[in-house]
Parts: sequence; C-alpha cells; structure tokens
Amino acid sequence: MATRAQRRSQKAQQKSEEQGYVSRSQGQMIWQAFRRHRVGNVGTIIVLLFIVGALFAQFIGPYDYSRQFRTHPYAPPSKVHWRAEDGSLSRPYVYGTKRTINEFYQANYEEDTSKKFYIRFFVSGGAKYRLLGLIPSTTHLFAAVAEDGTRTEFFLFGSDRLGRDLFTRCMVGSWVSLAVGPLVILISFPLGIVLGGVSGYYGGGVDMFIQRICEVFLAIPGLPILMAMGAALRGFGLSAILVFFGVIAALAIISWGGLARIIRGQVLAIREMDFVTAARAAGANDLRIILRHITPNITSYLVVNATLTIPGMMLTEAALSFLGYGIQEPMTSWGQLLNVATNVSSIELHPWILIPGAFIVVSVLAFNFMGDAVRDAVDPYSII
Amino acid sequence: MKNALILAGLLVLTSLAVFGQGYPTQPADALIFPIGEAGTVYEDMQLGVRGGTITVANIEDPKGWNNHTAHETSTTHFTNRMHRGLVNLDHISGAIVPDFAKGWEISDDGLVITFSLREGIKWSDGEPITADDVLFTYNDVILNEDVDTNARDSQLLPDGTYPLCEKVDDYTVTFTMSVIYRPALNALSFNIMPKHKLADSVHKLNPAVPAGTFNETWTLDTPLSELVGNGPWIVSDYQPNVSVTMTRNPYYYGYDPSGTQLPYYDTYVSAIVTNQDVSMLKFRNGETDVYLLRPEDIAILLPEGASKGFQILITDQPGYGTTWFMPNQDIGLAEGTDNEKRELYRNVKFREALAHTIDKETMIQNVLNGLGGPQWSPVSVPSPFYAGRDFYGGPITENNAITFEYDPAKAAGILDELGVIDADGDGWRDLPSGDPLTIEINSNDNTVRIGYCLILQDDWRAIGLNATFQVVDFNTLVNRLFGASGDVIQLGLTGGDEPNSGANVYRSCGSLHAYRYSACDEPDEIDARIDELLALGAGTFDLDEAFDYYTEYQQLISAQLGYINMVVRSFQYAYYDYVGNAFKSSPISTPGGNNGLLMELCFDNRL
Repeated sequence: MATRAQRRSQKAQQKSEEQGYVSRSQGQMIWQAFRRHRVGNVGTIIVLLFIVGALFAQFIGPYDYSRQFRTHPYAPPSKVHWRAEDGSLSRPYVYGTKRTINEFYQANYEEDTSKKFYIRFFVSGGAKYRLLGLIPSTTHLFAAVAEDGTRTEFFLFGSDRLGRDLFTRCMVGSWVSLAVGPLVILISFPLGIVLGGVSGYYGGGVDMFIQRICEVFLAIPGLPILMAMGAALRGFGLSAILVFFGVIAALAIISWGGLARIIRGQVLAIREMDFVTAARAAGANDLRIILRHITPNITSYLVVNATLTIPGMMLTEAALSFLGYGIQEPMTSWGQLLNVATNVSSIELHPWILIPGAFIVVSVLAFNFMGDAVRDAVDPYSII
Repeated sequence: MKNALILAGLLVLTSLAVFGQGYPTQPADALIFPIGEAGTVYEDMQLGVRGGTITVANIEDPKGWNNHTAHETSTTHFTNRMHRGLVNLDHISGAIVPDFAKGWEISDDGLVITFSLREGIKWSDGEPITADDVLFTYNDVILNEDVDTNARDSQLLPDGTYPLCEKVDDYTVTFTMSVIYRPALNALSFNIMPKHKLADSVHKLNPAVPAGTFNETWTLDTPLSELVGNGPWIVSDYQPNVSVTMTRNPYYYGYDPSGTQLPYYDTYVSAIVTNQDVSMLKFRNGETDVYLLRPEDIAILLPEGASKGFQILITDQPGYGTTWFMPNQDIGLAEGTDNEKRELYRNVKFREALAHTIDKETMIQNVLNGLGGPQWSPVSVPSPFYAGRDFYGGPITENNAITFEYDPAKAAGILDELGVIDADGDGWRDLPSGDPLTIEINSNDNTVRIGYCLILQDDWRAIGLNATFQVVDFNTLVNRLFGASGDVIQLGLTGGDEPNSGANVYRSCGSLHAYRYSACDEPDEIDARIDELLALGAGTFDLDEAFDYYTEYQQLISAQLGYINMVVRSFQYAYYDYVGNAFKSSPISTPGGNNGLLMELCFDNRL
C-alpha cells in the first residue's frame, strides 16, 4: 500500500513524463549519459575485470609466480582437449608433457597420452598464498588433476625460459601495471591542483613564480630522465620495491606540470565568474571560495584527466620496464614480461611470450574507452 | 656518382697492377702457414685461391685506428688485422708461435730472449721493417708514460720491472729480464708500429709536439692513406655507422706452401650494425659470410643451414672465461658488523654446501640453450694448462677435476651439521646463534646472469636459506666487488691460456682477490701455497713442469671455493659453405677479436 506522498510523486512523474519532462539529479544525468556510451561500458567492464583479476591474482594463477618448472623451459601453452579418444565430448583435460631436443637444438614438448589430467576448478593443495593479503589459502581457480590425484604442469599461456608459468606472471604483473597509474595520480594530482589552483587564484607574483617552475618541469624530457632515475636508484643498491616507488615518484614529478597549467587556466576563468564575486561579497574567505565554489567546477575535468592519465602511465611503465629500467626480476610487470621479446630468436621460436603485450593493449584501450565515456558523461555542455 | 666511384676503383686497381706493388718474388723469410701438411694443426685445411670479399658484421664503430691507445675491441678488431707482433698464439693449438720474428732463443739462465726478425719484409707503404720499429714500439710507445696504453701493464714482471729491449743488429732484438717469467713471452706478442710514420708524434722523440700527441694520432680524422701496417689487411674505407673496408696488404709476409701470398681474400668488409639481432638477420639473409652466434640463435639457424648452404660449428667444449658467485668472506670486516655471518662464510664447509646447490644442468639447458658446460677450475677449459687434461696440451679427461655435484639434500645436511638450522620456526634457516640469516645475491642487468642468479636463489630458498636477488648497476657491482662491501656477488671473468694471467685474481694479495682481501694480511697455508705455485709455474720454461705446478694450483683453488664456479658457454660459429677453411674457427682469437676465424687463411671456394 503506497503512501500518499509516494502516490503524489508517482503522479507528478507521470504527469511530467506525459508532458515530456523528466526530473533527474546531476548524478543521474551523468549515469544516464555514461550508460549510453556502449563502447565505454565495455571498456569499464574490462577495466573492472582487470582490477578483480589483480586483486585475486594469486588465486587465479595456478602457481607461485617465481616457481620454476626446470624441466619445462619455454613450454608452449598447454593444449586443452575437449574430446575423448572416440571423438565424444569430454570434460576438458590436458596431458603431461616431456621435453625433448631435436638435432636442431629445438625443444619439442611431446604429450604423454597415457594419463589424462582433468581441469578442475577451486582445487586446494597448490602454492601457498594469502588471499587479498590476509587469508592463508592453497586453493586456486583451476588445476590439472588426474583421477588418482596427481597433477601435471598446466601452462595456459606457456612458460618462460626458466619454466615459470606465464599466465600466473601476467596476473601478478598486473599489480604493478595497474597500480602505477593511480599511484602516480595520488602524487601528481594534489601537487598539480594545489599549485595550479594557488597560481590561478592569487595571480601576480605567486602565479609568475609557480608557472616558471611548471615550465622547468615541462621542459624535462620524460623517458631519458626516467631511465636515468631507474639506473641511479639501482646504483644505490635499493631493493626492487623501492626502485618501483622511486620510478612512480619520478613519473609523478615530471607529470604534474601540465596539470597545474590547465588547472590554473580554469581557476583563472572561474574566479572572475559572478558567483565567485557574489561569494566574496557575502564575505566568504579564500579557502571556502576555492573549496566550495571553484573546485566543484573543475571536478569533471579532473575525473576525465585521471581516467586518461592511467593508461598513459601504464604505457610509460611498460616502456621503462621493457627497456630494463623499471621493475626488476623476480618481481614482474607486463612491460617487464615483454622485455624478453626484444630478441628476434625468442619471438620466432616462442611466440607466446608476446601475450603480455595483449594485456597492455587491451587494458590501455579499455581505460581509454572508459575515459571517453566519462568525459562525455560529465561534460555539462553535451546534449543529452 | 656511383659510376664515378666504380671508375675510380678501377683506376686504383689498374695502377696497382701497373706499378706492381708487393714483393716481386716470395721473400726468403716469409711466414709459411703449413696448410695441408700432415702432423700440423693445418693438416685438414685446403690451399685457396686469391680474390673475392669476405663480409662480417660488427656492433660498434671503431673509435680510432691507433692500436696501442685503443681501449675497446671495436677498434682493436681492425688494428689487430693491420699489425702483427713478434710472436702470436697459434689459432688452433693456443701455443706461442713465431710471427714477425722467425724464431727466438732463450739464454741458459732464462733471463734473455733473443728474437731474430724476418729480413726483407716491408710495411704496407713499401718501407722496410727493422729492429728499429720493434724498439720504437716497445720503448717509445708501450713503455712511454706519455702514451695512454693498456699494453704497458701486461709487460710488468713480478718484481715490478719491465723487460729491457735492446737492438743487436737490424734484424735481432733482445729482451732482458730481471727474473725468469715465462708468461713474458705471451706479452711480447704486442703489435709492431711503423717508426717512420709515428716517431714524429711521440713527444719524447720529437719535443716539437706537445706531450700526449701520440694519443691523438691515427684517429678517425686521419686520412686512411696515412695508415701503415705489417698485418694482412689495411683499412681502405670507412663509412661511419655503415662499414669498414680493409684491403689486402701487398707486403704481408704470410704465404701458403704453394707460394701464394696471403690473405686469399682481396677485401674484408665489416658491416656496422645496431645490435646482435641485426647481425643474426644479416647472416641469415646471406649478407654476411660468417657469424659468431648466441645460444638462442642456434635453434633458428640450424634447421635452415642445409637449404641456405651454411654450416654451424658446434663445440661442446666450454670457451674462455669463468662464471662464478662469491660469498664475501670479509663481509662487515671493516665495520665490525656481521661477525657471525662472516665466520660462516669463512667456513669452507658452508661454501661446500653452497657448491652443492648449483644446478649446473638447468643453467646450461635453460639459460644457455644446452650450449655450455660445467666449470670447476679457475683456468679456462681451452687452455693447455687446464687441469682437466692429463699433461700439457693433452686431451680433456677431467681426471683431476674437483667437483661438487648438485645435491640439495647433501647441502641441507651440511648446513644442519654447521648448526645453520631454522631455530625460530619461520621457515628460514638461522645462524648457529639463532640470529636470522639473510643472503642477498647481486648481479648486473645481463639476461644470462639474471638467469643463473634466479636459479641459484630458487635452490637456496628451497633448502631454507633466505636469499633475495637484486640486480644492481654494473659500476655498483664492481664497487662492491673491489670494496669488499657486497654479500654474495655473481659475475664472470675473462680468461686466457696462461694461468698467470689470473694472478691478479687468485694471488692472496691480488687486486681482484675479492672473496677475501684480508688474505693478503693473514694468508693461511693454502693461500701461501697458491702464491708459491703461481710463481713456480711462471718461473720455468719447462711446460710440463709448469703444468704440474698449475694442476696443484687449480685443485687447491677449486677446493678452497673462493669464487665458486658455475658454467661456461661453449663456442659456436656459423659460416657459409663457400668460405673455404672456415671450419677451423676456434675460440682462440688470434690476436684478440678475430671473430674466431683465422681470416687470412679463408678463401672463396666458388672462385
């Protein structure tokens, strides 16, 4: 039994719909616009999948990322069989493989068809890890297990030269690759917003001073500086994780300048608007004007900038690790996984080592599509 | 333009023919390579015909053309073809053989070496080569403090003096030494430089030029026509980033038994490429004729060999050099920290445990694609003094090998005995006192080394040693090595035939005795014996006697486990079938960086 008020509001909505009017909040309108951007939706879903994949990387990957299957270097992706010997459909299974070297020094992995290892899901008894860093577990998403409980190597994407599972390494590598964008934003955005905002709001000498600093940082050539930083940090003998954070700090330091410039321009325009003058006339102090009146007007720009910065940073990290100046073994990232693909012979003989490249391409595209959708959605001047 | 160039080339060729450059007849003192002669290492080689061009690829541009001031192989690769020394290492056997010297005599007291030079031999510009050129090179270039050369250090005798080089007559020189030092003979393979061309740029001889002028002589700006040598080839054309072309020296003194002057090829072209991949692709496309391949290339090139007409020479014998890791036995010594860890590292039983954790087979299979071998001695396997042989220069039997098999269980057992057990139950072994034991392995950014280290780290963690692996910058690594400030360092050293070339590493006071610098102040019995054996081995001209000293030396070093040896790559070489005599390529590069081929004996067998 609906209340009177509800009935009234329903009625009002019905009435306005009949007249062609719908009343929506700003949030609803953004959501509506965002929903309409089909490609952006797909991108968002893919991004979410990547994030879930990264969070549960050790659960999804069947092995420890540094586990070496020494008898299986450069093993190709395991062949999954769907049909039994008589041709009938079967539960998917793989065979164990054995490496042989032919007269051309080429490795061949021959299947041992005497025993079937069925692909089972949610199998316990694998490598130990902590789910989300908290819950100790040995359960993995899948494993190849025979009827008698024995297991075999199951490489969804093949293995690298030391026999490490490429699929697991792709999943674990996503930690670095996905984290690098948000971490850089965490440093560069506060810097850019505060310095750009102050510069635009107060103007004069302050503006002059900050803008010159900005120009200095904009003039720094990106990649060479990052490579030098990476080399220098390693020169101090810092651990891999510190080098990683050092690289992130370097990325942030060279990327805040552009942001500060644009923020300054926007603040400069907004502070002359009537509503700012009105607020000032009403006696609001600078802090209140900046936080309550100016910042909301640049939020949409910041959101868009953030979604587009992430893929850029992912690519920079990939380039850096690819060149050997980013993440160091045994930790990994997608770019670092691609590092072995600098060698013609390796690509020709073991094409599956290029798979991490697909992760980079797909995730960067997904982030860009998502960014497009967000931009269209938050743009107050677009026609809905 | 192209036509003009060809025309110019033709003119040069005809002028050569008209003026008849070169020796009218084979000089009496020519160096004859006994090709096809039974009982020599040249037995199975063939007599060739002159003509044609051989093309190889190099990664870097030369930095100049001055052999003695060059510090990089990209330069010496070419200068070593322009110049030859008194003696040389035989391409295949590794023995010291006459080159520009016809032969030598050693005085009874072993202190004076007398070289008789080849008479009637000329520089590439037609000037005669005499003892004055040898004296100029030795006294005014190599021993001249004003000249920035790497060659001086290798001339140093154990007592800190240099051999005294004197002229007896135009074709006889003597080197007088203060102590008997057999390896001095190797050092006398230094390349001879033309005095008539270069004397004026040496400040000592020509005070008109400022000090250091010689270091700026024969640079890339020097007109190529100024370059003069006594080697088989002279640089005739250089296109930066494209190629270096060398043309035969009409006055080279090497001949084959049938009286044909060497080299067989008219020109030698070295294409300059950006990296190894390009080098490989160029060979694969037939743009270069020979290629020194990497382990990862073999599986690609080998299947194509038959259809494309090239061969790959695969030796299962490891090449020169050593690869090792070292627990720093002086760790924390300067600061007085890590006392217990240092004691542990100094315990040879602990190092034996580590030696049992090296999965050499996996390192060879997975990192070197099966193209390598285990290594146990500080002396390179191809050396005639390698203790894996039964006598000097004998076949490799490994009868005297000191080895530690891969056996993690045994290693774990030794650690248990030493009291290195997991005291606190955190899954990692602790020091005998119960303090945690962490080990950091360092290496530089090199794919092969990273592979070795990751395998090693994995094995150490498997037996409960809490090992981390950290790639550091090469300079940092070297600083840690020299400064005794590292923990466990993985690196490699180059090697040669003469064990005494490793004296700076293995002598207790050696500058690279990095696993325990403190041994210089407090050598134990074994350190003292090692020092003694190095001196004994170098102090005799009897090779068999030296071999016995060096065998004991190698066994002591290997059991001492200062540098704990790992694996060494073997030597592979690819060449097209039409390159005659290329099958004799070997890791002994004569002298320095000949790409494994004795290029002057190769010929185009399609001609």
